[in-house]
Amino acid sequence: MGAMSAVEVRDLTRLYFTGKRRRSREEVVALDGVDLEMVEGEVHGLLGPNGAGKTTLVKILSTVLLPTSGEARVLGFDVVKDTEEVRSRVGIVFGGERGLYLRLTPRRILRYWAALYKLPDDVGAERSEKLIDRVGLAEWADRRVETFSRGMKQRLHLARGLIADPPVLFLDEPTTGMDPVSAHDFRELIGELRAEGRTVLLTTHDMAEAEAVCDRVTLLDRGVILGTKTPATVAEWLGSFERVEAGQVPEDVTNKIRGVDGVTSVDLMDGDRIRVHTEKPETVRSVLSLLIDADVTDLATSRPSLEEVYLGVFGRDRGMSV
Amino acid sequence: MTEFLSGWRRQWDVVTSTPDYWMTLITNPLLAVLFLAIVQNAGRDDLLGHAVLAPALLGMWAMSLFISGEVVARDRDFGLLEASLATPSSYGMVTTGRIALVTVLALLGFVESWLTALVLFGVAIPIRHPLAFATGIGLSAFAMAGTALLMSALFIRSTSVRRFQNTLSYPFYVLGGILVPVALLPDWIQPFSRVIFLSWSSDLLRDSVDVPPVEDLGWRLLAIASLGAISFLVGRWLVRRMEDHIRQTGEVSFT
Repeated sequence: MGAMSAVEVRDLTRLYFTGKRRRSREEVVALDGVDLEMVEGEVHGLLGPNGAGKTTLVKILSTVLLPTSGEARVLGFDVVKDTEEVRSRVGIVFGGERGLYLRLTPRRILRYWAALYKLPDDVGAERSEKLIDRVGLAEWADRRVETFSRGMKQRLHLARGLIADPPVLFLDEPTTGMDPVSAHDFRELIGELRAEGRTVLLTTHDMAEAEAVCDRVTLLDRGVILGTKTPATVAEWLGSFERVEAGQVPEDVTNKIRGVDGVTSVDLMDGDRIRVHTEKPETVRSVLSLLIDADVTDLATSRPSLEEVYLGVFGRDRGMSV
Repeated sequence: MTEFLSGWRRQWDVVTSTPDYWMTLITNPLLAVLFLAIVQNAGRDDLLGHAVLAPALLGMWAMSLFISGEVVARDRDFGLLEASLATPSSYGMVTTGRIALVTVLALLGFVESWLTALVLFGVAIPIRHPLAFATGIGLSAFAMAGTALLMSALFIRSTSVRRFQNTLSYPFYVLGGILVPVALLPDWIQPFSRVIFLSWSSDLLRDSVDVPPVEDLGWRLLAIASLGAISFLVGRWLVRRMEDHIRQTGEVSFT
């Protein structure tokens, strides 16, 4: 018998309307016939660039936004009709600086949210202490949040999302703006959540993050699901579409690089720098060999942006208009 | 009730961590000194009770306007509104609890004013009609909380809450009969005053410290209670409408 569905989304569409006047307002499609299924205990990545519809989907699943059409269920409860049941079973963590009252301390903030989730006082107090300890804020439990770093605030956000001990957690770009060390620690916490059997939906535009922590990754772009992939596929993309940047490259070498199998384009940048875009894992090695043979020492490789991967993998399907 | 208490405790945490919120209570004795000095120097000791009530009523309105009124707007500005709506608690009830705490704190202004008269002017203002005074204070606090809920739901429509607050301060001190009894205002203004609960409250509280018996006590209490209840119900309805609006449009304000 397979695992039960934690989140089921069927043909979900959400339209926004811009402008105040009925006649002049324009329709914006944020989600367009989205289907998604997450099994219990899964860490599922929702990967997409800004404006893809990730936050809209999270808001609908957490009952703060109504879908225009379609259906969404969390642990079998309809997000439109059974709001109370969904709300008591879901934790939400929004990324960024906002979402905290800066003059209060973590202890006071968590006690308040515990009360909003209708936990008895003693349970709320006990859980607040445990979570403060768990996210590494014990030393700062009675200090005002306004003195915290971004990483500390984000850990507090996570503690807030966990205060009701929810079986399902939505993390909306939780590592946005975090330094690499804090982001790494945060990802370890997500690993712990998986070990506890929680279902996690993680939205991100960071492919490396999705590859590192998710069991499956769904790719979303302009409100449309492009597909659901394994982290291994995402890792392969990260390798396939790697970029090479080099300085002081002789013109004949640049021309040779253009002819290497798997090189999709070579950008000429300021001065005599070039940026080489590739689409096969072994191409980077060939390009580096050519550059080293030509005694070029100013070299660097970098991971592709999400937009570049989308263009490379889904380019034709999405109209080549990244 | 749990949600109400959650809001009450939350607001206590917020108020105790925000020194600005105490400014009204800190400056209240100074206002009391001003009013008492004017009355005493004019040789109108019979109005000392009125001079004690005026700054307390001013403070109550100011705290409701500037603290309670911006409860929802501040949640919006801090990015807390949507997260709050995503919990199983009723946002309207939590907000009511928060506003109730501010209203109760504002009542300290009456004690401050009375003590200012006693300590600095050596006058113990007698409450000659304690029942009228107590019920008047209680219902005024209820009406104030209802009005604050209404304001807080209205202010979310604006990107500039401060503009609303400034607009609603001094005119209401006049219309509410706080500075000058409504009966002394021009005739044409009195109907407008009478739809504001403060005008009934200030008249009743003044009468309750004066010597003559309080007339029509029941009707006047009913007027305060009715206007407070109307404000409260409209405020709750507007908060619910705001929640529906956010769910439907995704916008956290009406602007």
